[in-house]
Amino acid sequence: MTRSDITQLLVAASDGSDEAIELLLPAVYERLRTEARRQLRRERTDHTLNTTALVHEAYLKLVDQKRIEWKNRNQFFWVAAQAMRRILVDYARGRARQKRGAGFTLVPIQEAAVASAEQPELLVALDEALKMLEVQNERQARVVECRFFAGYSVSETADILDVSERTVKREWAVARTRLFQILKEMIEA
Amino acid sequence: MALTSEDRDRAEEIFFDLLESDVEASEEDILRLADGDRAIAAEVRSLLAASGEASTILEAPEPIRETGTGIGAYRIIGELGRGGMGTVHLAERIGDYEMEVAIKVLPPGLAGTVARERFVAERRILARLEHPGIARLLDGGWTDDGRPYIVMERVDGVPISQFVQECDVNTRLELFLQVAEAVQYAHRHLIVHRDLKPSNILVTPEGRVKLLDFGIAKLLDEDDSTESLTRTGERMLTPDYASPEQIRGEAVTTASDVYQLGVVLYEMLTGVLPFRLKGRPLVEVERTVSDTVPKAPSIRLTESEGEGRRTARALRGDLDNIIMKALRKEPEQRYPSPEAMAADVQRHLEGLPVQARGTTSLYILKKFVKRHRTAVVGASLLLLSLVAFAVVSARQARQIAVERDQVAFQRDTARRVVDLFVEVFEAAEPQNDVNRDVTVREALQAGVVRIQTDLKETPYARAAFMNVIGSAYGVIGDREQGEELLREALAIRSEMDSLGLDVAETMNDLGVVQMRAGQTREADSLLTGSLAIREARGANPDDIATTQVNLASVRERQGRLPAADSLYTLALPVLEQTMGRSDRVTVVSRKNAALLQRTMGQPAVAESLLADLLPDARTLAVRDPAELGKTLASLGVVRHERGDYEAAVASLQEAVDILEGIPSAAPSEASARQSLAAALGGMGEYELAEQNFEQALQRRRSMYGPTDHRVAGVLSNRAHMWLGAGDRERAEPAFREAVRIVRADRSTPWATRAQLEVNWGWTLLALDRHAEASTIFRGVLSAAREGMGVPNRLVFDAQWGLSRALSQVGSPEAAEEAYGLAIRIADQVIPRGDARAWRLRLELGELLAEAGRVEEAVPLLSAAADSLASAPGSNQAFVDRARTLLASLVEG
Repeated sequence: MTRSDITQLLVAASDGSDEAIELLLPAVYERLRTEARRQLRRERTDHTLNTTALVHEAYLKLVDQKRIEWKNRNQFFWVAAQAMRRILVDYARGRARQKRGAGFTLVPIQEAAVASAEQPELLVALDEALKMLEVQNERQARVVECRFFAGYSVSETADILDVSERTVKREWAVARTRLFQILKEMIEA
Repeated sequence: MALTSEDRDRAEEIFFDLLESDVEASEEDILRLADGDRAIAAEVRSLLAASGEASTILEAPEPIRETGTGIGAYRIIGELGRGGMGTVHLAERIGDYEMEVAIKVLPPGLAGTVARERFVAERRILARLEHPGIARLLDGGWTDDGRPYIVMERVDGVPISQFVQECDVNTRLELFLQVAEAVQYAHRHLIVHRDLKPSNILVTPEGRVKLLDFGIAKLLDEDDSTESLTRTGERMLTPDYASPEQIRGEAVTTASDVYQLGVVLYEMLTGVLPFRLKGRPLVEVERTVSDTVPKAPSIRLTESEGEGRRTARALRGDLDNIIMKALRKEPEQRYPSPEAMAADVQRHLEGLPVQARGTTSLYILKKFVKRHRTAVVGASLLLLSLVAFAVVSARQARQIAVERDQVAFQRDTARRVVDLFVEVFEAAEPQNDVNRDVTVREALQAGVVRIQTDLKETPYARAAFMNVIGSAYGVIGDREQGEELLREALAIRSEMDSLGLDVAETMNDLGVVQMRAGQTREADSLLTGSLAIREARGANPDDIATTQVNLASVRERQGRLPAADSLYTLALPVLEQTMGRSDRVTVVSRKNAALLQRTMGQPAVAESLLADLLPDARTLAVRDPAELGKTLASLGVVRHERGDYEAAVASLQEAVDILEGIPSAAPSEASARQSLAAALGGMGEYELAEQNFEQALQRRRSMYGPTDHRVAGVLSNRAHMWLGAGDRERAEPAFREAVRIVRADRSTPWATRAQLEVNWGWTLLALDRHAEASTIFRGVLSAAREGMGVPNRLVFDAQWGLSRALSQVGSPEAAEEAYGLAIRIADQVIPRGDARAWRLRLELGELLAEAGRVEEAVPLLSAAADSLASAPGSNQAFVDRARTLLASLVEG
């Protein structure tokens, strides 16, 4: 998919075309994954991956800024956060298989990128928990994608999801707690 | 017990409130907050219990920590802020702990060229700026791992909106003057900030304003290649402070900074933003910023309590006007510079009159028009408010002492209101759409009633309104109502000055109404009269030219083509000069003039005129895409006629694509579709053609009713295609129906009817019904002789058809005479050497041979045989026919 195609899709998506969003996700996913893999494979000891930087860089490369408006831009970052979640979880799944580890323990995870390498089982479980949360409250799941997986700030997340900063803070606090509850139940089960 | 999703939301809300307030809540407190609902209270408790641990387990990623690291001669000691493209660090100079600075470093992972170039661009911009009101660039360079960084003066201050909370109005204005001065300084250095908002405008404890963050500023003197680097869209821009052009992604100039200064001043004085945009759908945000006029600051404050009401009094008048001028939607209507805005604020502080004029109700009406220009309901609402406005103005007018001034005032306001009305009405004009007419008609009726009662004592205004509502009736096809009002307006205006410019205006408008209704004779005399007055009274050149092009349309409908042509020759240069080449009226008139050339048998001229027009139509398309669609459609039609099917299909397909998206352009879309179908038929793409014909037919039937000449046009073209495809059985009934319709519909333009009749005549020839055919052709030819000075292609087709018919059913003398005339016409209108010219001679030769006039026939036939062998549009069958006959004649 060319830069022009993606730009076109963004414009269509912001006009409310679901089809455009569906087409957009794989394209953005593909691009982000290639770059994320490249960086994660660099065998850096810290396994850091600046997800925010990654998304911004992808945006600059993928989208023709002359033809785009700020609302399309938000659409892109919205899609990119979802793509980032899939990339990191997929990566964690691969690592988990390599480690052949059984369960997971609830240890603090600071960054999704680090977790995908170091606590892959936990991140995979988190993704499962997020799926459950998504059914109950989709917005909370989106907030987690933006804040945790893509690393956007509160105000960026508010812009992207088009809600107030207070809402983002609330949904983030609630989602975090709910996810913790779900994970805990998973361990106990 | 399972909680409903409302219960969950409620529990989450309480949970978050408690979390934020950071107080220990007892079980009773929680139950009370949950309004006694135990299930909700339990949920809250369970969330609270989990939250302590949860927050330590899942963390939002922190920015990459660079604290403690050294950058150049500085050491990072903290963080000042964080944005999409990196973090602003607090740092100190190594060895000089007193000196704190702000450092921005390109984050790792963003080393890509685009982000990097932009970072460097910001550094370059800052290097140009040295002003006490702008945070200074101190240093810059590259880190050890190759990332660029910027060292800036560290500003110890708070956002201006926060700072002014305790200040009186005049102090706020003084602070604003500092802001405007800093922005003006940047503009003088050819830099547009583009992101002015309180968080980028800090005030130090000493009360000094400092402008920060030129991260998306733009250098005006650099070429477009850097434009993509610094484009607003590249960063998350909160719509709250964005100008309409920024929201729409259009070119951003210094005028955008003026707009943002308006928003900042609005917020500084009222504590709120002009619009509440947060949490609203994006489409709505765009529409609001582009179209809605915000409430004046004083009105906004009146709605608040206590303190605000006192401030409101201070804002009413000057400050309202100043802010509203800065917040105009059209960049050119704002203050030309921050300096000009500041000057007005200064004048206000000194108690002098300001330059900003009151945002009149007319201005608000104008916004209203913009917003509703395409909506039908909008048009009717608009009309009512326009009338209401006129009534108010009329009352004001009565207070003016001198009668002459009163008249001038009435005329002036009426004129402006009328212009607005016409603008909206023409833009929302889906021609004769039956469904739409009901609401518009009701609105017009209501308008008439109000005019009669409320404008009784202000004849100028009343006449002006009757004039405009009368024209509106004409547009929706109600000639009688329109005529009645316009005649009354004419009577009032004639009484005041029987040969005045007002009279000329009404005559022009009445002429247009009559023309639309097919009353060409009346239209002609009205427009001729209007033109005479306008010329004699020295009217504006564009008014004269407008009447000339209207008259040209009438003359064309009458078939007086050269007369129409010379009117266009006079009017077009004037329109181009006064209104501009890409003005709507100019573009439409140029297009009509080009199409006239086509009717006059000059398709090559028509094509080059239209091709010439296309760039201007594309310019106009920003405001009026429909007109571009129509121009492309015309070009396609002419190209089809010239035999360039592929180019025709391309133009027409583009036209259809454009027009399809514009609801009010449905009639033009139907026409374009019809032409597209015909061109596709010409290429042998019958199936695609058929689909397009069918769609065009359905559109037109529902728009105009089944007996309108425009329905006949589609039928005729479709029949023509079938005829070409050899399917006479399908062609004939369609033609018959089409002809019946055009003969009954008196508003059919001459050329349309003639074309249709000629097509029908040829169909009859193909069906061997020669007598009927000859009657048809004679009718067309006699109508043409009345109207036209020069023969054209239609006349040629008719004359040829008549010759054919007569050779079968007439006397040989009559047929011979007819062919002689056809050959003479062919020499004028058919390209030299074209097969048709030689086929005529072949047919005449055959006629003579049959009459036994071999000596005359032979030279004709041999010349025809030779030429047809190579003429464009010929084929071997003609050559063979000529040779065979020649051979038999020579033998005999």
